Amino acid sequence: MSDELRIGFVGNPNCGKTTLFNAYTGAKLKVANWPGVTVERKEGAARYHNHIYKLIDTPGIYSLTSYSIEEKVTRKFILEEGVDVIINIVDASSLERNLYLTLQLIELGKPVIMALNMMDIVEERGMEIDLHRLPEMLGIPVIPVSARKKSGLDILMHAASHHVKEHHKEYVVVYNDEIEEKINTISLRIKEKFKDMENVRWHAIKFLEYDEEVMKKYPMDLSDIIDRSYETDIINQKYDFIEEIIDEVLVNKATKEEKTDKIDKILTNRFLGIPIFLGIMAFVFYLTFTVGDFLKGGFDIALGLISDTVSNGLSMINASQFVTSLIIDGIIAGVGGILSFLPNIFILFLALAILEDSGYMSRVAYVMDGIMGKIGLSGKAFIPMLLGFGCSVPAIMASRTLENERDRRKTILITPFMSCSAKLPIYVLFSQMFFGAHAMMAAYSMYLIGLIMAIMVAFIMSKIGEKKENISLLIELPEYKAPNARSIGIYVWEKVKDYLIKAGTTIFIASIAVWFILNIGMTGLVDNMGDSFGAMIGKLLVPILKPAGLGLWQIGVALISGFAAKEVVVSSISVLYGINNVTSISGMNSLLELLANDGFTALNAYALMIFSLLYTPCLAAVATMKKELKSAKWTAFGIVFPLVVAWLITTLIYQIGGFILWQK
Amino acid sequence: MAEIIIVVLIVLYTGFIIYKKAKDMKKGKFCNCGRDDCPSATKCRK
Repeated sequence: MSDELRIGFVGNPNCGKTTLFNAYTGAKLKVANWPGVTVERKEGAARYHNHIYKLIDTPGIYSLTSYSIEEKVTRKFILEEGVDVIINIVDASSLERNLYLTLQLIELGKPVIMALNMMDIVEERGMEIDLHRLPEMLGIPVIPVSARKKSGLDILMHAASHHVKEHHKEYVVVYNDEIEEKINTISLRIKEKFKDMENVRWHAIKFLEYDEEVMKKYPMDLSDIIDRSYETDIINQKYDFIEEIIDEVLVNKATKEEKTDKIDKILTNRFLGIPIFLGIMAFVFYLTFTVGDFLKGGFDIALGLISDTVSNGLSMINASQFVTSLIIDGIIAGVGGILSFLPNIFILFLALAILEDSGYMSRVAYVMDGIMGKIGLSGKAFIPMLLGFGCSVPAIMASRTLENERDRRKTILITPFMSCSAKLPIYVLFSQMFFGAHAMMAAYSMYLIGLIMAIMVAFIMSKIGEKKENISLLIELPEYKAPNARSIGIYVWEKVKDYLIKAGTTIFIASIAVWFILNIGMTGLVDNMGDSFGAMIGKLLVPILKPAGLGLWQIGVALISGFAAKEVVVSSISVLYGINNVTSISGMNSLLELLANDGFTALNAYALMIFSLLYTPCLAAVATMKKELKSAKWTAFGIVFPLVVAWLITTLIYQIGGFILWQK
Repeated sequence: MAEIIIVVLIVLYTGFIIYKKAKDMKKGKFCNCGRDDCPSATKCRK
């Protein structure tokens, strides 16, 4: 006869919880959201002997307070959804940090089993864990497992099936006399008023901690017992017990300072941290330009060859001028113009991946916490902003990790100011054409301006909004390690593939669309682009964009096309000026000449780069914003606000720049 | 004839891309850079 057991997987982030979960469930799992929130919930099933186990994976959490969405859903799941057994996955190499959650789980009074994961890392460091003493002190079974190597899995399930029937210890931590006395008194009061309540001791502790959710759910007058919040005392005493456990069970604990700590002393130094981050990013862009350009030479030659071959082929079949122009001046110019930036994109993502995999990027959030605090955000909000260097879509989604709704909204609205990789072709093209030896600095300044604008806008929003209590940053800093070539290779290949797919789809269509509106006018096919529908639209924008140094109708059309994808700005410029290989030296010289004829100078080019940096993000980012903000009003704000900011800042810089140059 | 074939292919391909994009957007997949966009196994490991 089969019994169904409901098992919850609970643990810190990065403890291997989901790896273990996946090892049991394989591909047979269901992914949904926890009710009412955007946090993912995974459910699966596993069969062991005569039992069917229903497994539920919870979000990684450090404690069972109710600050973050993840903590709230996990706590609610354990208390209200009838969990039979909790498997607490613990990273053995960070036992001290993981034990806090373990103690809280045991106090809940539910059956808990510890799955001690990553024992191989413990061995590598020359440490040992006393696997007899640890379960004695905790009062729960401790099963060493390796989620990665899939060892210990059967024993763990065996322990789960037996432990559910045993008596469940609640007294893992015995607090001092004062607190224990209060817990006993409160427990008696609770039992009088709420006779059916389970986990009375846990609830009594929560009352002492002034836990809002518990106090709201079980209103009681305990003012004669509780004179203040005992949260700090309870936390400290838990950690005292954890220290006792570590002293007893952890043998050969590393005494000398680890390599990671030594490196962190420099990289997360209060004064050096931010300059080092800016320096590293400058180096990343230096590589993007120099190495990227070196690799680009081959692409330019290949694209030139393709263009000539196709042109010859179309001549051979006596193709009409319409079709020839569509293919050569539209598709090849547009798509080819973008493909030639692939080497730069490749280098950028390779560098970012190396920084992430080495463990450095987590430090950036920590380093930026000080500045973020002054603009009303925590350093955690910088993580979505960092992702914005790659693409705004996952960056906007990453704001889900922020607890406060107002912080989430603020982060979503400022993240598009961070310069995504799609804008890189615009910077590379115009900076190389107009700034020569200073091209890299001109492009790098875009990233700095984007960062400064994001911070300034967040600062202004924090002054306008209501004051909120400060939430401390709690972030895990993984150990530094040599980047894994395989995982970086996979990631960079995914990025290259995405770029190629984007070129072959979105940019392909956008290039055709731009070509059509530039070659069709009131009288049908036009000989002069200036008579086309595109020109009509562009000319409407000239009076508005002129103060910002962008008073050419071609630039207006290119910027509109950038709503599809920012790379399309470059594709459109190629189509608008009829240059097939715009990134080649000859292509750039031709474009430079044509722009110069229209009075377009280096200052105008810089203005274009700034406007492209700041104005409304692409359609995909706007759609993601709408999904995450769940508000048409705020989405509309997210569209209009960057447009206004872009115009204001570009106009300011262009006018001041023009004045300075005029003075000279 | 060859020219007509080329134009038809371009039209069909364009139609296919538009159809696929519209279908993806209905599913909530707005672009190729998705939620699993993370540069390393460490970050993606859960």
